[in-house]
Amino acid sequence: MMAKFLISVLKALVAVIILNVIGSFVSARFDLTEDNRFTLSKPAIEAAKKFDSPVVIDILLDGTIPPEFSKLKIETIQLLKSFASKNKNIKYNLVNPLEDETQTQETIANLQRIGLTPANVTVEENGKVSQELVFPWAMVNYKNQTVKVALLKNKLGSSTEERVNNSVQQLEYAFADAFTKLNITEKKRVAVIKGNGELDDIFLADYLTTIQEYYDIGAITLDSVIKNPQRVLEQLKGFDLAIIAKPTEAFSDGEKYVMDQFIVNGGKSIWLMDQVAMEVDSIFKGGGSAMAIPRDLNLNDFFFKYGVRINPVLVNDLYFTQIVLATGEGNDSQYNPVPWYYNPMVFSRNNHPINTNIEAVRYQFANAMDVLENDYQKTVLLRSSPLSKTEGTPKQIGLNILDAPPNKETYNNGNQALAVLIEGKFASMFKNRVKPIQLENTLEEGEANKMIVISDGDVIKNQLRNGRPLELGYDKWTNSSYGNKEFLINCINYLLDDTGLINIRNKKVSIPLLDVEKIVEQKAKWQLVNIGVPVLLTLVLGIFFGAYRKRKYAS
Amino acid sequence: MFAIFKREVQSFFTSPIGYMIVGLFLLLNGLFLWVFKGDFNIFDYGFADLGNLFLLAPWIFIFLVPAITMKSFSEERKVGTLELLLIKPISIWKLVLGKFWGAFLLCVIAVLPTIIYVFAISNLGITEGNFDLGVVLGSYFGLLFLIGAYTSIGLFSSTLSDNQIVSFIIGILMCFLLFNGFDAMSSLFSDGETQQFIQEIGARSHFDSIARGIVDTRDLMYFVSLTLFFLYLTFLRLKQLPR
Repeated sequence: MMAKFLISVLKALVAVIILNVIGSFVSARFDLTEDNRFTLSKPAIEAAKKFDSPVVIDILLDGTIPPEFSKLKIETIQLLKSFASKNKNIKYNLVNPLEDETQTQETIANLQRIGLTPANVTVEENGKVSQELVFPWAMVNYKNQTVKVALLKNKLGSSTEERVNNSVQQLEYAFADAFTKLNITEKKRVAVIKGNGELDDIFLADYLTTIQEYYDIGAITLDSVIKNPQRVLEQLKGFDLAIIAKPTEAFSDGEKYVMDQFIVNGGKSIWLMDQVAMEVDSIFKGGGSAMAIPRDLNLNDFFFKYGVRINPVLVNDLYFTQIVLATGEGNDSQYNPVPWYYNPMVFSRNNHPINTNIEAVRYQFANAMDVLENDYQKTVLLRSSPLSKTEGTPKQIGLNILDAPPNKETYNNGNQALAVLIEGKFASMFKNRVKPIQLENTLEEGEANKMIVISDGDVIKNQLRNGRPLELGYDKWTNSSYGNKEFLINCINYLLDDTGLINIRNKKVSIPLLDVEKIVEQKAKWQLVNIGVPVLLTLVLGIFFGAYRKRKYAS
Repeated sequence: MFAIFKREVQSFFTSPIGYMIVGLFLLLNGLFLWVFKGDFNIFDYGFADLGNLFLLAPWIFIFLVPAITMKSFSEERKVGTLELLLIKPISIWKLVLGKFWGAFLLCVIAVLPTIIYVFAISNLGITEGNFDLGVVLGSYFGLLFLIGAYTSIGLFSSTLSDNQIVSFIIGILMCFLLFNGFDAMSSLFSDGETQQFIQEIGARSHFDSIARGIVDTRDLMYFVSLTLFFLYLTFLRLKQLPR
């Protein structure tokens, strides 16, 4: 009897296993979340599918971590599970970097040396406040390469919860981005244009080293256009994109024609233009004031053709970033951050893949652009704040503007375009015109193309410390970080990315938060409701059932 | 089957046990989620979702479901009514299913009032009504499947002894093993893949996945087959019992 029972049990168990195994082959998955959070977007899947040997992802979030970060950990694991279901080669590990308590300090130093910056979390428990370090990073290891993935994304002035919220949104992008980097076999080529007083390499260093993971970078000097324009053009045509970072000398017509032909032939371009000569340094050197003078780069007709006009005016914005002034002498020096209205802090409107989920971008002496009507499609990527105004040049600019508070009523022409994306079938600006120089194989009309014009050259400029470049977007004087780097990386990815990686950025995940104020106000009420009402319902059910039974038996 | 089902439900609500179980479930949930400080407190958690409820409820049900099912067969065996039932012109399968749905309904009744929590988080959100209904629905859906599995386990354990307390304890043990045992066991292994495989035998990984808002047919298949398996064991056991 017992043996027969056991055999039946065994049979049933086998049936269960077989059922589940079969079920795992014909499975379907439904994402009930309203934002389709757990459904990978197409470009992300494409990026993940390219691995043909094992990829191991180490998540450095194991151990005791604050609850916000465990949320981040859970979401990361979930995401990697989804990636793993698309490509069996993707594996992940949880790692606690601070596991060995005997040498915590050493480990922290080591991690920081390889560029993993920790997040400092204030933990408040039973009235005691303590600081904890968390390393919100993942390392993606493939073949002999390792790419770091920042799981936490900083956003200026947000709480830890908001930071985590933001970070979860961009996790998919962060990993898809890392996967793409690891799989790049043929890098596209980026040319840094020289010869017209552009920024020195050291000021572009941080940006260029960052994009080196995706692209090959070379320099092209336009000076030799005078001697051999054809060769310069041919060289230039070997590149996919040109960066023109803050030229200070005018372009000759010949140089313009070479650039024009590069663009008409399909070359993408990012123009970072200063139409007004002005620097904070000049103000300090000039004893507290300096003259802002319009700069003629001989490119007005060129940009006009594409539908933008960079005006020789300065944007004065009440959403500003600070500069630091030193007062006193020698050891008594004091460094005070002061508002600097000519350095706008530009918040993204999140209306385009390029500007979605980026931090505020810092401009320094920005010019305002007019966007004109023509055949090209133009998207304004960044605008000055509604509380801004333009000031014509030449104009004396001095530190004395700090003495009086700004008159808000004069800030009445805000929302000036500061970065514009132009798309369309580009035509040569020399079409139907006398050509300045003779070039072979020229085109009058080109295929679909894109360019981005940014009306401030300093957006791409990183600061230096002891002669070494700092991260782009970091201001050493005020110790704050801005979104310049991300913005420019998105720009170049958008211009050069054919696979549509940038589209993952458009995905928004909303993690609803509870309102702290409401909790304080209504805590007691909801405690009462949430405990009282269900218990009350049970009682009511009992009374009704009792009454029902009484009636039934009475009758 | 319906007669058994009706008799079962009636027996719960004529004795105080049914109310006590439903009330206890709601009270425990309410206190842990909204009053007591700790991991489950939703106010401290700060996100407008009910994740904590679905973290907590499976644990409470580990104790409550065996409490509901412990008497289903144990008691009938003890007082001798099981034989009466078995000789009635109704198949054993129908008897088992009737008992199953009866206990299941009681659990559903216990869960229903927690919908009030949904209103709470909906009202307390930074933007009112801004919570993910899909996730909440998915979680409730997952909880029902988990309760189904627990109930079938409870029914089976109740056939194992004519002592209710013994049935209750065996039921708790089996539910606990199913939900948490495999997770705990997996930590004994250092290899990530083995760990994951063992975890997937347990109910927790499947439940967590549904509770997060992803309905995967594999997870549903897991719970349904598990429930059927234990119902079948109950059936075998009843058939085997000496009459």
